[in-house]
Amino acid sequence: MASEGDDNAAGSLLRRRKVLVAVDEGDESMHALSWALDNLIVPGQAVGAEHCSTSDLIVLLHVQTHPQVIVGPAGPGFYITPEIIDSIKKHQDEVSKKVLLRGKMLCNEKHLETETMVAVGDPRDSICEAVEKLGIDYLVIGSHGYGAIKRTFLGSVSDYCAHHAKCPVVIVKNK
Amino acid sequence: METSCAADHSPNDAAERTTVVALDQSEESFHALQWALDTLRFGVSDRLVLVHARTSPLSHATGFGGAGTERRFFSINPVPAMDYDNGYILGTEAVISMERSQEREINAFMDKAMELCREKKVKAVKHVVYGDARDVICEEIQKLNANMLVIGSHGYGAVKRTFLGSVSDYCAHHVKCPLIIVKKPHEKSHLKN
Repeated sequence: MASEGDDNAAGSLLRRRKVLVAVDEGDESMHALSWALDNLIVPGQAVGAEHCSTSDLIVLLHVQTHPQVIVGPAGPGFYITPEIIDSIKKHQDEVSKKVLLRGKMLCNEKHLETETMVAVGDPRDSICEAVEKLGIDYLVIGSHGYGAIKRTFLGSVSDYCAHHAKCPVVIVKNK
Repeated sequence: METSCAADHSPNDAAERTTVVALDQSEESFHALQWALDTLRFGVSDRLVLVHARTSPLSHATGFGGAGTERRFFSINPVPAMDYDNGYILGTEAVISMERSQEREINAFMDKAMELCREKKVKAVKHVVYGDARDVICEEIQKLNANMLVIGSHGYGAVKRTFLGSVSDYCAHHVKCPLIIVKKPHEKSHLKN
């Protein structure tokens, strides 16, 4: 929260923004990130090896959703053993790594400082929590993703975030 | 200027980009406009189109101006306008004067909005269109082939949204271009402005 000090002689217009982009495996979220990089985000310039202090900071967030135990009237449908939990976690970690790397590469093309973050839980809550915790200036999200049913006009996660996130929300539709 | 390392030009400044900003008299929509002017970078080839959906003053007189009761065109005809439901009979003069006074109000806040754009040296035009906000915004975006929509939101809860309707919600579902929904923060939070 110390970026208030970034104000320079040219005025507060050059204060860097902290932008959260929620990414997942789908192409939609990468499309949303590219669009934001091309149209909204202040790019940096390769000034030596350092990142420019007035270009925006991108926080890439991947939310892992772990399946819940489904308990039917006659007890759990099947038993989730610790091994299964571990293998799901391992798989999800690989997905996170892949997805965040992909996002980071897009940001690197614009010489932007990037932070990556992984959260576990419901994407709706995790994204909104991250916005509050990190003091995000605005959120970029695709209109579908996180497994939402694509025949609706707007996915449930983007819809939820549009109403509940405590910052402006940029919703990028799929082309 | 040489020492500034952030790019001085807006990205993709070859093509002209059109951003529609939906405005009404509310604080929320002005906050959205101000946020866009402060946060987004507009280049010389970009322009803002400030869209305001104007309702026919007759609907205000009847006291029920919700969606669906709007008419697209208001034609002045020699027969006095009659509103059978509420028993009002409005002569054309009354209607014309209501229109004029509404126009004055609209011009007042639209000019204020244009002034905000001028202060930030952003090219802007006003489009005031008759109709329901939901339809007007979506149509303008299509007509202008807009690159982006900026819209404020009252931040109503789910119940209020169902009864009062939500323009930002409708637009989020129906526009094809990227949109930015800007809510006015309720209380002083840690958010930087």
